[in-house]
Amino acid sequence: MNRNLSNLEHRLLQSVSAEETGNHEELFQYQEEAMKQLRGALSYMKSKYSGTEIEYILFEPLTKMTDKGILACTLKGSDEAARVIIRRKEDSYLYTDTLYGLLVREKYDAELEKIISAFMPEVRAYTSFYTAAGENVNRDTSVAQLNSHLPVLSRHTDLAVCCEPHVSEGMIGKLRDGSFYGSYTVCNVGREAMDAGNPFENRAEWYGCLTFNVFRTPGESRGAE
Amino acid sequence: MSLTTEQLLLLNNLMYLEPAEGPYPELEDYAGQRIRDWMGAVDLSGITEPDPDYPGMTTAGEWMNIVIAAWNEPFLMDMRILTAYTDLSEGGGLCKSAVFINADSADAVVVFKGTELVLGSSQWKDNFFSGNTADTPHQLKALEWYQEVYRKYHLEQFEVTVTGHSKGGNKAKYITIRDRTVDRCVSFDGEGFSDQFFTKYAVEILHREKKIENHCVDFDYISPLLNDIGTTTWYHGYNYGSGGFTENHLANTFMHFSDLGRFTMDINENGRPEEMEALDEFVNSYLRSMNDEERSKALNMLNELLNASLSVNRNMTRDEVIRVFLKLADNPDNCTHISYFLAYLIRYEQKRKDMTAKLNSVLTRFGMTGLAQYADLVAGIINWKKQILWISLSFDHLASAVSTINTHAPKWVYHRLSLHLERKGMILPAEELARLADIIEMTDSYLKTAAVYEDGSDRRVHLARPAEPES
Repeated sequence: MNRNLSNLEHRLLQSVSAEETGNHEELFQYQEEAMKQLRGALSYMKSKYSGTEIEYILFEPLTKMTDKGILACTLKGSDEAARVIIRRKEDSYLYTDTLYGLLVREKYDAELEKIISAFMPEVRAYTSFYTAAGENVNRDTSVAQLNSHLPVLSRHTDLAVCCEPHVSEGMIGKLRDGSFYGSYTVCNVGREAMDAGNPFENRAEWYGCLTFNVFRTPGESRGAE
Repeated sequence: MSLTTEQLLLLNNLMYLEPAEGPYPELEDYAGQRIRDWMGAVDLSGITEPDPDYPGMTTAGEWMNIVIAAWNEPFLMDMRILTAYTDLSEGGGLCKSAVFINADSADAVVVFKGTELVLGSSQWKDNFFSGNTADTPHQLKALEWYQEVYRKYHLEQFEVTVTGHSKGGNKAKYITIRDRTVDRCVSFDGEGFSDQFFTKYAVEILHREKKIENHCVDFDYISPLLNDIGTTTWYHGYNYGSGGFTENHLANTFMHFSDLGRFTMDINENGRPEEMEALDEFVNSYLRSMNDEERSKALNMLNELLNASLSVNRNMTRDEVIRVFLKLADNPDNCTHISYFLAYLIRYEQKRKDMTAKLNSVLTRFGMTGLAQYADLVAGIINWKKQILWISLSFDHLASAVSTINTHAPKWVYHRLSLHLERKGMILPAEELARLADIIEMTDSYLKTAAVYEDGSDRRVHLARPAEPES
């Protein structure tokens, strides 16, 4: 194992005070353990998202006082944080992450908009995925695969419309048929925002908007056993 | 109507819902909606253990209880999520905060979540750092954010309660002292403040301390740190699981669930256990015995020692603890402070006979049996006495002997000693033995000069005359 710390590792290992350490001989056992986790997480992300520019924000290792470790990251140029979750697995570590959500959003929202536009025209969708998933869920995962994944990948969708928001049983039925599970918030953002092409710009001001949920029926959401 | 302590505790617990690990919606997605919309998006049937082989410290069952308990609070459910924020800036630590309001009752609650990972390494690092400074970067950022939302959302029209758990509780208290607009502060297991903080903000503390309530689990080990402000109520702890004693610091440990979604907070009428009281006094006394520069280095050393003792997957043995101490002592500053710490512990023990036993009790509860055995070893050395004919030997004599060997003996003595110890089942290479000798020698030197700082009680602010009321 290469014990010399890179600049990135130095920065991320601040939580275990290894930011000034030169090489492995100076590391304590807990710092080495943290470095092992960090390198494992970085390697996992590099392999899963090769070619994608990822910026790493902070790292908290799994220790005896926590039940997981976290490596927070974002896509270059984005302000949305994703997380790599580090868990104990026998003598090693298991890595899952939420970064896939930022990469599948466009294709997911496109398909969602097709369904909803039959009920509320001129809809724009913005979906955030939250459940951490392993290597089997990445940017190439199809929308159908995302929707059929077990356990359910929890997500939230903001729907911007230019009409009075309404949620019909028919629409919910279509969403459930397509397995577009998740929670939804619908807001009439007005013509101007829609035409400007940035209907989610004032998302923080969406007060008192309509919300609804589409869940799997009880007993199925737990996933394959 | 002000929110009850139970309702505020629930809010603080909800802030820890982790979307990555279950069907828990992100709070920020519900800004502008009511808490019932946020909780309504929790698919209860999907709450399961992420990895049943390694259950989290807060289990799926406990989360289910917490979510249902929230549903049983209609006043809480009707509150609106005014804003929610996650600090993604460099050094922000992904700290989360939010404002909830009820326009009808004119209540606003500003909640600060603890660190991204409660009891993560960053939290400990910050805990130790705050022992030697009046204002930490996290506290200052929290104050800045609070003042920004106060202005932006005109919170002057509300009765403002600031609350938080752990680091969040510390931030809530800090803001209450620094900003007069806070009407009430409720902290859950929030740590205290340094002596420097008390000196710097003595007047503000005098005027605003009465707004602060601390609620702490009796065996919580963060809230005893440093000096606290406000009143304190101690509670019995519940819901211990895979984390054992560590879980004394979790937000849901306060909750005694009798039925699904129904809980009470049970006051410990005896207050804080004496072991925790003793630990608090010792830490205060030890820190006050040093100047600022020394204290900073000592806190660094303690942070590294704590981290080293919390290695993954295994409980360190006594011999491994000794090796950790010796490796720490590679750094000359650490060597100095380890020796001073040992000397201070010895002197403190001589004045308060039961200190090591109490420290040992806390360490054992922590599951840190290696460190507890080490403490036993130290106590054994401190109290070592041997009578040879008419000569009484004690630690002072041992230290002198070590000093002599250290100064005059050739290196091969340590090699022989190392081999001898190996035959006795103790692995200590010659270099580490030499370092141990350095520590013993330095400890002996400090023993001659270390004076116990008598007052280990939390600081209080008093005025000779009544304070002018705040205008």
